[in-house]
Amino acid sequence: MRVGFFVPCYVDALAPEAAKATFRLIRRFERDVTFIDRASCCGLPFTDMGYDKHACKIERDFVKYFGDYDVIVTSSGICTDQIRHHLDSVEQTDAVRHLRENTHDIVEFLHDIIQVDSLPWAEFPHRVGLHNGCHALRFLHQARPTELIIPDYSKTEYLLSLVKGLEIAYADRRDECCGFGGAFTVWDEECSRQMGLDKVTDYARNGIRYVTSADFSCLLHQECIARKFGIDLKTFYIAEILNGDAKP
Amino acid sequence: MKQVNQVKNGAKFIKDTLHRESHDRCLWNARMRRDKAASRLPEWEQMRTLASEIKRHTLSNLDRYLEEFERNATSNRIHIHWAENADEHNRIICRLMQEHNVKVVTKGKSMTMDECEMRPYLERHGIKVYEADLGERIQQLDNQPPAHIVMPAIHKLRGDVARIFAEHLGSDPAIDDPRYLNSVMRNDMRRNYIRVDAGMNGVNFAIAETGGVVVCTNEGNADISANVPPLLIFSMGLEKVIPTVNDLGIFIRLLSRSALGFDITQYTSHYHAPAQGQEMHIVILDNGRSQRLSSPDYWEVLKCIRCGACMNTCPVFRRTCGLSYEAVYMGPIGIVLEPSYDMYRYARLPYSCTHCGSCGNVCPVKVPIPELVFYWRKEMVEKRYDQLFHRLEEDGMAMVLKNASTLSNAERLGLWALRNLPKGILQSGLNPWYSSHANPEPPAETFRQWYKRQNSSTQRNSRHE
Amino acid sequence: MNNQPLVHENEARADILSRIRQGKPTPLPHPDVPIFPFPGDTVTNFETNLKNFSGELMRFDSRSDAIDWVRHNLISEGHTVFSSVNELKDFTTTSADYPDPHEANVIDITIGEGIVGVGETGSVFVTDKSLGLPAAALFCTDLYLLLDHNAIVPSIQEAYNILDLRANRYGSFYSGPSATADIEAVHITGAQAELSLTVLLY
Repeated sequence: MRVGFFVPCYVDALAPEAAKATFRLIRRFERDVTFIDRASCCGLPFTDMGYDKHACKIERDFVKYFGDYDVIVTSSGICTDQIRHHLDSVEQTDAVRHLRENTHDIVEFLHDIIQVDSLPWAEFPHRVGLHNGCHALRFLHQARPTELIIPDYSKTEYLLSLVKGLEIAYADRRDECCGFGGAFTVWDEECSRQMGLDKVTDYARNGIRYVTSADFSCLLHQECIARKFGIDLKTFYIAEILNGDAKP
Repeated sequence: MKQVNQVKNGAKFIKDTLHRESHDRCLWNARMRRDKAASRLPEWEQMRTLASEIKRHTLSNLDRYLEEFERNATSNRIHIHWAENADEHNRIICRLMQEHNVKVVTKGKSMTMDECEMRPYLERHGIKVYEADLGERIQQLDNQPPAHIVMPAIHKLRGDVARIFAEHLGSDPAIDDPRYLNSVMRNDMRRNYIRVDAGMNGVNFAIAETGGVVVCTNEGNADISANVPPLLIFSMGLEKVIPTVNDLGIFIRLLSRSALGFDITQYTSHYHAPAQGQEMHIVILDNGRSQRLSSPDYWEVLKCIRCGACMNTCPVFRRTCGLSYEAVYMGPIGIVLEPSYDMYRYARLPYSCTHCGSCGNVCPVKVPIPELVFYWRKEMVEKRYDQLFHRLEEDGMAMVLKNASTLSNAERLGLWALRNLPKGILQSGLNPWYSSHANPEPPAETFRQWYKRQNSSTQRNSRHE
Repeated sequence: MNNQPLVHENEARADILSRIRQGKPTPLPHPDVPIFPFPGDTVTNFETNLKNFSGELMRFDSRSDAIDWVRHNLISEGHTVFSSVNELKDFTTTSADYPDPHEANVIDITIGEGIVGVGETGSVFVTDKSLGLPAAALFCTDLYLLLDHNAIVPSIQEAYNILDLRANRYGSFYSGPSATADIEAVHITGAQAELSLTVLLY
């Protein structure tokens, strides 16, 4: 299996540790993995705001870079959703369809492709709040959103259950959006802040000091708000915990 | 006309902690009750699918079902009227009122009538309209539009209502117990019901097979308005029709559970003919609906049954309140519906959304609201609404857009991000993020730099071996 | 008097329908709608759910027991009682006493017939005929509905399956007395119509 590894712009610049952990984690299961240096944008910032036409060239390049790989793994849930569900500006060729169907974030890669049943190197003996980011939750279907009356399941919870000593906790409003929302956080700063503050207050009320998620952007938003408002919170991208890199 | 700035309006409500927290809590509780009520029915998701399919079937055969409804209603001695737009709707109703020499009207909740601004129209023609739903009445007395399609005054605290009732209905301003306030309303409305000349109501469902309409309410006001006066007028959007009574069962099971988390409304009332000595009229309103039906990417918005579940779950709506949308329909359904009424005025509404997707999951008829948000954002960009672009440029979005679209080279974008994201977006005192967020710790090197370093050292090492 | 320009409704009708015909999506099929079973004992469900909606239930061994109870406990001087129930109407006011429904506002107690009960929701289906005068049921303070326990069906769907809606100008599922939650979502029983609803189950 040839794996192409995609690191989105914001993770590259702001969370290199998250990308490193993801890369190392893939390598534990699949040696044939290539980081595509030239790709840095999936087009999300454009389609998110309605600039679909601007996304076209980016999407075309993206397909060019990743078209030859069996599986594409990203270190971001929102980018995975973008590629799978919104790569609409380019002509829908076989290569594009292949790309859309075979792009996964690290959770899907481990859970669905590798189907891991143990992570012997991973240990994090702490109570950890799990935040399923909205895109991973409701568009990638990584867990049951509380609104849907279907049998309960959670890919993220399963993976974290393989980590020695880790205890999963949730905020009271476990599925409530934390208010990042990509451009929303800039567009509607007041509302974004209030949502973020409500989220980190919810953690604090439940005694949650560590939070993990398959979306780094949510974590960045939450941690920076917590810090601004003096709330004790440390966040880890899920690969950091699953790879055994997370340090309290 | 000015463009609605929901963000600015919402910010005011966010600052009002008491009102915001109460509003958020009330609606979140409704959402929680909804989850509980739905989870008692194992067939819930199957019913949502059925409801969506019934609506899709009906809308794709809408002419046929409207004609069937009209035929059957007419043979039930109901008068059917057709209105192209709000003005025709109001003129038809006003004429009926004048013909019957109507002085006093009690009116139940109707989004269609709100859409047509019917109450002020009738009042301009000397007809006194009493909103008969408690929440609507509070809003009427306070000279505000409804702030929620099911709970019109949910953004108010009991003290606000006590003040309004004291001012307009002469109640004791010091008593803010909702029970007392409810009895003030009850007593006041009784004075109106005993002299009411015409009753008006909205319609939840119109059954083609039987030619009758269904109205789901809790307070009893709609049933009084329908059963007491000699003139009874219903107003309905043309998408309200469903084929059969059998279909109705699915919608009734979904409606109140989705809206408020109760298994059914107190009154689920079916009107199939006028009472003796009564006249019954139904006005069928188009007002852009037939146009919406013809858009392949958009027509499913017409499936909406106006339950308000999307508002209760929307994290933006709960924190900013319905009035901030300055629109008849607010919250998730509002931001995808209102631009079809006035694209310029509501150009910014589709951006009042974090794309969390919760509204799509609670919608009992599966209106694809998250997809429709994308649809409108694309439309807005294509139409190049100026104010929108100005705001985007202020926020540096346009700069991102201009630069990044020419940046095929990843290294350049990575560099650009490093230079601009932390400083330009994250660290500048001018940027909005800075006032809400602490700065992220700037990493020593990007992943790209690390990867290159790793690779070159691996290559060096392998050469040495 | 009538200074309104006339609306040409026939024109509007033709235009609207023709736009729909031209623009509507390709016809999609109607799904098969099953009647979903509703679990649990139907009468028990009815009682539980009626009480959830703040309704009350009284059980009687027979209809005549229920009627006797009404005659001895509800019909008294000093109250205006309304009924169109055959066995009661000689002792109460009836629709003949209220030629104009506005006048029904004086009624204190109304006793009507329930046609069908619904286990799923605790609702009772009533009609203009079964109530005698709907205004009497809505304007009164206390509403009593007679209901045969054999007339309770498991679910809303099953109720629709047996009801002939078109046969009644007014037909309604009453689920507990009128209520509101419009002020801070505080649930209040007894809004604008009847303040209490009691089902007399026999």
